[in-house]
Amino acid sequence: MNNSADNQPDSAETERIARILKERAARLADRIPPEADRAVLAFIDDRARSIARAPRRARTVRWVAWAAAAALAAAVGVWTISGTRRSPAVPPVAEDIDHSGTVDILDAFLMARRLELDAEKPASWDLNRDGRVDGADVDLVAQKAVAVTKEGT
Amino acid sequence: MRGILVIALVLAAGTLSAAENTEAKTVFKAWDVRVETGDETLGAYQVEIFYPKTTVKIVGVEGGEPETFRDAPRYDPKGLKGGRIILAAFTTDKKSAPKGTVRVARIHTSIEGKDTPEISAKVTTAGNIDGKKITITVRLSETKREKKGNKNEKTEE
Repeated sequence: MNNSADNQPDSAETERIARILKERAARLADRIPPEADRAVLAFIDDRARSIARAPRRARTVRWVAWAAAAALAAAVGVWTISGTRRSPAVPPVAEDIDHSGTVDILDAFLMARRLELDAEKPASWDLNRDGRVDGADVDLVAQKAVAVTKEGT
Repeated sequence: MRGILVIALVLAAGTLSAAENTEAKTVFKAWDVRVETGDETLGAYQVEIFYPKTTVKIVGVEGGEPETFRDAPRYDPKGLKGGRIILAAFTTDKKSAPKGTVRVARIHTSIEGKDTPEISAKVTTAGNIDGKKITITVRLSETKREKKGNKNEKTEE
């Protein structure tokens, strides 16, 4: 990924260029008026310093971005946790056999199919607490599925 | 004496007329509940029926046409006059699970007034015979009997 820091020459390269330019300027010193010479050297120094500062700025920007991301993640975490605390935990409904979030006829159907297959049945399906999972438990689930007092079915 | 007799006759006639009017306002209608399963077999269905509770009461719920859904579906008796009833049934009989258009139930209603009430239905959930959730549609249509005592019935959409 490219960013502004990658496009900047590194400080070693900058120093090398500055050195070359200073050497050339020294060679031509006797032919150039000293004011012009100083002005050029001052310009080179100034430019070199500003280029050398650029990667530091990029690093600073990167750190700020990371800090912002961390702050955002923390804020999302706090919001999620506080949201969970606000809404009361929904207790699991024993009749929701397929864990779909609602008790409907498919729960009773699933139980009936398992009973017919004589497959293993969880003890939690013994809804009437008579010690066995049978048709009476299926009836309880079906009854709950069609109850009109509840909402959302 | 003759005046009192005339008044009594007028009052009696008025009472009879009012009674006749009240009687004429209640009609009984049956509604077929049909579901469309497409190519899927019908293992279980659950539908909700909505009706105006001020004018309509459900006086009976009976099963559907295929043998597997011949028994009355499950429902809450509170739904008979509350404006909303949930009907649901399932079968585990793989061999005779129906598919396509299936009349799963019929409801009988008593209706106050001459206007046909707005009765609607929606699917809550359905599954095929293997227990997989499927998409079905539900349709309600009024059942018309052709002749009294005739077992053949005609359904009017």
